[in-house]
Amino acid sequence: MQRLLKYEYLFLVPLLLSAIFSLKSFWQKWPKPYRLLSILVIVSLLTELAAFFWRLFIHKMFFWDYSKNNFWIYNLFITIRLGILLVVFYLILDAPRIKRIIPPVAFMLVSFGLLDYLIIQGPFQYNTYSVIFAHIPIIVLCLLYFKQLLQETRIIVLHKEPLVWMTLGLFVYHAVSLPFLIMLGFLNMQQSDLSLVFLPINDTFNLLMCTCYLISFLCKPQLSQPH
Amino acid sequence: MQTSTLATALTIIISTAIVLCLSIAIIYFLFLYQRKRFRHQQELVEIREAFNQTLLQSKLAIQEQTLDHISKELHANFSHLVSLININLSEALPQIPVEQRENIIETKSLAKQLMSELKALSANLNTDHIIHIGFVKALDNELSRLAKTKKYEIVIAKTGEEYRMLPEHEIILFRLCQEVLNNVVKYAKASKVSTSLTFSPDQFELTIADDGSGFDVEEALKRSGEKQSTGLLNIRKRAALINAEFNIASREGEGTLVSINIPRPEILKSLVL
Repeated sequence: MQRLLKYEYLFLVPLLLSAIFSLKSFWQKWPKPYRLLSILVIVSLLTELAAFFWRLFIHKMFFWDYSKNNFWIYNLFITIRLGILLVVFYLILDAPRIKRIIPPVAFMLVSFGLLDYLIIQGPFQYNTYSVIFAHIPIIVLCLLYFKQLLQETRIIVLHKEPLVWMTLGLFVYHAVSLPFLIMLGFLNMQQSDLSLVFLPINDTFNLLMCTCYLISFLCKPQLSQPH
Repeated sequence: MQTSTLATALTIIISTAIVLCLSIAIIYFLFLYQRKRFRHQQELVEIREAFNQTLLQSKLAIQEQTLDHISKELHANFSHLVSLININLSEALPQIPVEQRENIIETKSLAKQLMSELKALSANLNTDHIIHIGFVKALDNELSRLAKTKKYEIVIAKTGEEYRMLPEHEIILFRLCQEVLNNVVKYAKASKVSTSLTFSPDQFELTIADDGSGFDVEEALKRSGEKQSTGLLNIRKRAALINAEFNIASREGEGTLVSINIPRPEILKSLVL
């Protein structure tokens, strides 16, 4: 349990708090995208806890004794998270052309994610292909949401809108950690020490993203959002 | 190996730094642009509000001028004509057969009544007269006129030490009361009208209550939009001009209570006329 106090697990604090605060989106009946984001936050927390405790004791609990490798949990989460975010962006983006494009692209990306998980890279190796194919569409969708905000005719106070904070966190994390995550598979194979040196980059932006989650659930959706 | 490690590390650091800077720039631009637009829209709203305020004030000024004109016409021409009728009747009276004299006397009495009604109406329409006698006296006169019809029981209650407010405020307040009383006469089917005036330095409070048929306020406000009838909305706007809070409480069959509150009224220490 002492391990939880390390910097790499610091993000669990805002993640846990945001998961708790996100529950109000259900009992206050916030619109669907917010509730989906709440599910995303709760799933993120459960994934982190499952991965942590898998390494600690679940892998050899009861009558089984599996490998300590918890990549299969993170890899599965990449595709689930992408699926949820694609639905959220489908709901919040207004442009008809984008709305038409999202479902087939989502189907292809989720299918590829499952294929990578089950066949191409397998569940026990970090699915860098899935990461790239998940990060790039999320970055693009975040930018499309920003563009929509710029063209918005109604007054939206940006710093009080949960979706803005959520998108900011997602955008910064996915954009900034992308170069490192693209290289991660290569580094794991060639220079594993170097990959460990750069992990704090991922941890830092993960912490930032979870803080944005927390801020977003401390705000209230503005009436004008979403359409 | 050492060089390749360094190159890889540098690549990751530089690309991460570039992407981070770009992300920050995008977010900064988004917030900056949104803030500018927000300010611009706020300015537009303020300009629109100021324009509406000016428009309303001009409308009120025009209305006052028109009422003034009508008042003067009533006083100068109509009253004069009624006086002439009265004089003619007086002159004709001795020459009329005795059996018809009673009719003439009755007509003369009606002409006198008409004259006093015209004078009262003229006084209530005349802005200078209202400013001269003050809001309270003007409202008293208006209520007396209602009482004279014998259709309504009028109750007036005053609390606190009476004071005068800014003349333009008093005029708007009086016109508001006229509008409310007009609505009572037109729609309420009331038999009793109670008015209370509460004077305190921090607040002026006026209530006009009737025991009439009442109405559904929300429904009326909704319908005013559909029917393009702006009575209630106009009253509210005028009240806002003098920083007054205007409230109506009513239910069908239970009468209506109109309250006008002016927090911190602008009290006149002396009125120069």
